[in-house]
Amino acid sequence: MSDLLPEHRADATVGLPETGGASPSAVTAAAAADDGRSKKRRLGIGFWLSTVWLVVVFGLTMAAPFLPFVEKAGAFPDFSVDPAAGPSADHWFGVNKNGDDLFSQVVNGGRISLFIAFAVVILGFVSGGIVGMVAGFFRGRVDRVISAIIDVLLAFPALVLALAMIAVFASDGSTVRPNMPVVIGSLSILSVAPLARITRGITLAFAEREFVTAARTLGATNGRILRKEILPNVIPPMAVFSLTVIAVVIVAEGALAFLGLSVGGAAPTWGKLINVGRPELESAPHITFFPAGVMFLTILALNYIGDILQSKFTVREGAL
Amino acid sequence: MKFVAVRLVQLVVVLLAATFFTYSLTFITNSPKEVVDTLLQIEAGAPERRTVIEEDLNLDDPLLVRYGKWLGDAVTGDLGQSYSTQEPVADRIQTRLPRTLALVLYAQIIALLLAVPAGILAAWRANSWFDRGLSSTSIGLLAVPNYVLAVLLVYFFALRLGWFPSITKADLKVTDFKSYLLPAASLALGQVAVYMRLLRTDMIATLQEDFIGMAKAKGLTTRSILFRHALRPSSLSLVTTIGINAGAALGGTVIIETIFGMPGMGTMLVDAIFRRDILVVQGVVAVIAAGFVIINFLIDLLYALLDPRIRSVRSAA
Repeated sequence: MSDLLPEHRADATVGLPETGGASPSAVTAAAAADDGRSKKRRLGIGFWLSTVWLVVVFGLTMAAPFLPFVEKAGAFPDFSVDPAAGPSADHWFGVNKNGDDLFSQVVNGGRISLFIAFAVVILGFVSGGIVGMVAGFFRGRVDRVISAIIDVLLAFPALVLALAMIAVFASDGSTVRPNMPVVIGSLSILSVAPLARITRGITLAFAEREFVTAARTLGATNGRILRKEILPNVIPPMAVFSLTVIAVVIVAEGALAFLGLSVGGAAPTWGKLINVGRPELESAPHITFFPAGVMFLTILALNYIGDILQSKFTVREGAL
Repeated sequence: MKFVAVRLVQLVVVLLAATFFTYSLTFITNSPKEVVDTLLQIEAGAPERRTVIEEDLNLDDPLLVRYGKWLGDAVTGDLGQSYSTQEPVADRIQTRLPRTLALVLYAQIIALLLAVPAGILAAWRANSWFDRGLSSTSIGLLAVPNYVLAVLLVYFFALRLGWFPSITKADLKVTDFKSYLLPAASLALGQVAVYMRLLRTDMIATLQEDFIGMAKAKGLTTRSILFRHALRPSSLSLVTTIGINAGAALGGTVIIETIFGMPGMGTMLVDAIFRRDILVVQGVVAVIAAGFVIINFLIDLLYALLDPRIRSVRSAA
């Protein structure tokens, strides 16, 4: 798994100052205002370029069914164009050998890739968050067992585990045909363990804070403390960390799709588009390079924004 | 050594959990009859083979007993046989495992050859244009999935320049460096970024230490200070990460082997998944789990040897 997760961010991010449950952007904005300098200058041009790119990609993929220039998956094959000709005014990314408009394919496939990534991360956010908060708050034996499981899941080759699960759950007679729930379930190993670990770390730091002691003195139950005191503080750093996890899941879903083991259906996802173009790599490299490039820029943007937001409002353990 | 014993027990538990997980999954989602149906279908066998298969899989026993028997056989090197090729699973693994291990090893060597000098130079001239350039490059490298990188490398170095083969031979030898270079490089480049960042951070801290000032005062050359004095104390977290990554890289080999048509464990796994060859899937996952456990155990030992403090801290915990 760690071959997918850039460095060990989860280790480094342990505590952070109380933000009273404000959203990440509000926190960053407040920090910028305190400094008396413009938000733009502090975050840098790369941050805004990344944001613009993500807004464009998410906007296009979400609005795809309503956009006139995005063809429906599998519709209107255009055989009048030579695939080797490359991009043109009619076909912005060119066409493949089946006459499909590549731009539409990238948009339609991205819709599915991103949907899977979000579903997986939401699943990890909820289940990993609960598990991590329980481990970090109650500590003791519960924590030891949960932490041991998280450690193993983090270190074990996640793709192998996901493939094994798909092999078992996606059997359809003599073929393998994974559907959406199977793919999302298999990939959730990638999101549950990292999010559980980071939540545990943050909870551990907050459980010692004065406002938690104060709430307890006032007679608040554990459940209430977790909900009202810990949860609002845990969510912002988890949300920032989730950006990186989304990138990891997009890559992993791409790997499954590349192998032909992600969701089937009319619209191939990014990983499959990259694989499908490989036979024509020599004569028409753009068929492979356009989906690969879009995927690369999306992951880059997610990582970059995640990096900047983390360094903006994360206090490292040593600084506490 | 109490530390070693504790780690050993932990790792055996991991191994049991991983194998039981894959073993039981098959039978939780399918009834034994369905499993036999599938196996009969893939070997296109006659109906009378049904009883043979049922006996092979010990289907009369309860799940735990069955798993115990499978595990007992597995430990003695018998992983059952493939129903699609009628070959013993262990035999195929034996010819394919060295190729996959070699791929992981070469990838780590390439990654370190690039990352160590780059990390040292970046730390030595921290915040210089060189350091900044490297850190931007590493953010970029981290965003390239290994399969995208593999396709790019094939396009430029195999198809355009023709320096290396784009598909490896069916009887690939582990010493065939020319065939290994592109697959290993595809796995390595993402790790270069991770290793370089890690070494740079630790190295910057080491370079603040008094003994480095002392070495400078003695008039040692920069090269000697960086490579002989500062590198070793800075490399501890790098060593651990290499261990974790080498285990995890076993996952990356699945897709890289598929792209280069490399006859290793990864292609065997994917092939078996498509054929629904359950015993092969179980066998490969068990071997990968065992490899992962062994690598991690060795790295733990190495780490404890490098830094005696670890031993006492961990056994106290």
